[in-house]
Amino acid sequence: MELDLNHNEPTIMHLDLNSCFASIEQQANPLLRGKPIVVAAYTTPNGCILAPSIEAKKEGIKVGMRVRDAQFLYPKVVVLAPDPPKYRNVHLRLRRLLNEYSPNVVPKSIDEAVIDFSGTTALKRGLVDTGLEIKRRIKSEIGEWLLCNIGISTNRLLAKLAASLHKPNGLDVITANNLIETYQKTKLTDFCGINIRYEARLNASGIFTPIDFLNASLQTLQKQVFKSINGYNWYLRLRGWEVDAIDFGRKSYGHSYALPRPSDDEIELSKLLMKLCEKMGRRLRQAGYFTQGIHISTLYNDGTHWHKAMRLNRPIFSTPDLFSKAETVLNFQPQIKKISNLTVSCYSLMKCSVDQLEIFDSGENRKKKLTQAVDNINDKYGEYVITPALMLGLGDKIIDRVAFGGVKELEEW
Amino acid sequence: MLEKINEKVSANLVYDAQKGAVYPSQILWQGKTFAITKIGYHHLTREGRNTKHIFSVSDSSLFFKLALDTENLNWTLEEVSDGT
Repeated sequence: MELDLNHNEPTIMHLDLNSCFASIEQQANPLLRGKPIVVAAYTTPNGCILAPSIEAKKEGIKVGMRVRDAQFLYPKVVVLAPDPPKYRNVHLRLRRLLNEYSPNVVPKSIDEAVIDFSGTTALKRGLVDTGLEIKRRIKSEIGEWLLCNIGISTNRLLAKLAASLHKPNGLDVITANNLIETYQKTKLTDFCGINIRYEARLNASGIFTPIDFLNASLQTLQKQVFKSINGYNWYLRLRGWEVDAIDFGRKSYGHSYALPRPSDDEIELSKLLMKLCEKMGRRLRQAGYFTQGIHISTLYNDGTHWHKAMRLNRPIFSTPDLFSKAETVLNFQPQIKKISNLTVSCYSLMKCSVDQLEIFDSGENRKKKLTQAVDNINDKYGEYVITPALMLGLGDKIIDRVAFGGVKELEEW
Repeated sequence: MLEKINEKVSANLVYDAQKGAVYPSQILWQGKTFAITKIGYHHLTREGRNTKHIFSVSDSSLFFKLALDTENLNWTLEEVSDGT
């Protein structure tokens, strides 16, 4: 099969806020503008950097570095803790703004969105003009310090690639006319979804550049490189055809906590597990789900990890039930070692509306009403006004975070 | 240097009907008046059903994070920073 490049008019726009968390902090605090700053998970020397400002990036500071490394590169760097409510507010305002142009806006993360303009009047006006107007409106309506990159193309992959070509504050279009030229200037790892491992796999098949990738036959990609439907999907993507317009639904809820001091203390771990289960349970119930599976994953201070999932024979929803099952799973650890990172998640979700009625009352109904009453009190007076006693004394441990990747939580608001 | 304060402060609030904008114009903290010259960002936070308006503002040399509690209309100075 030989497939031509997609010569259709571009309808997809990828928008990416530059240095999102750091730029929002500079927007909020004008005294930080123009200075190298970083937002880090913790402001302590071991804290992981989540977002360096554009100025900090110029000093060589990157996402994922430790605070101490950033201070080594630029001793006067300003280190700030994250402020999730502020970032979510910017995200929601941005999404409202984008929805004025198209009803089809899909947030890819807190600072990225894909807009499909098919069938909208913006297409008539031209997406470049629309993109420039969106940039202007972000500055005037959300914050004058906020810059974004915009990429326009016929599919999501190329729109994202276009958005990465000129950082910061770029606007690029990839069409069939400049696709080859663009591929000549890029690397395989510039494609979203091709990391160094996939690059090695492509290299092993004689594919070293995006041009080689484009010229590879469907058979090579499908049978030799990817050995799956992925080969076919890449064959289409690289030519500008859309295969990624899929909306993935909610599959699981989870929370994790990096312990400041690794611990194997049963009581401490139980308390942390309870808080993780309470946070997870609140989100699960708010979205109207029960769960039928619990998964625990641990990272030990010797660098090893362990995980186990348990399928439940009946759906559960209350925090005490979630905790009890999570603790059962945690007790399956083959060896007691100091845990440095604890994660709990629930999967196999089902909507509350398909609740199974019971012939004999086993107390589930009363439990449901009690859980709902406790949730209502917390909704009215704030989180953790009523908590399980095991959580006493935990204070600010396991604080609010913005998850990497999808923002399902905000989609459900 | 950013410092957590969490102290009640007196504040003047301005409502500009033409622009539809609401913002604090000056605050009185520790016996000193600070004239707000720049509004960096304004957003809302929720604690249960109670809403707080968070104003990130600055004068010429200091940054202030102010919270207006909509339940009792109290102003709290949450943070101060000199931008270093």
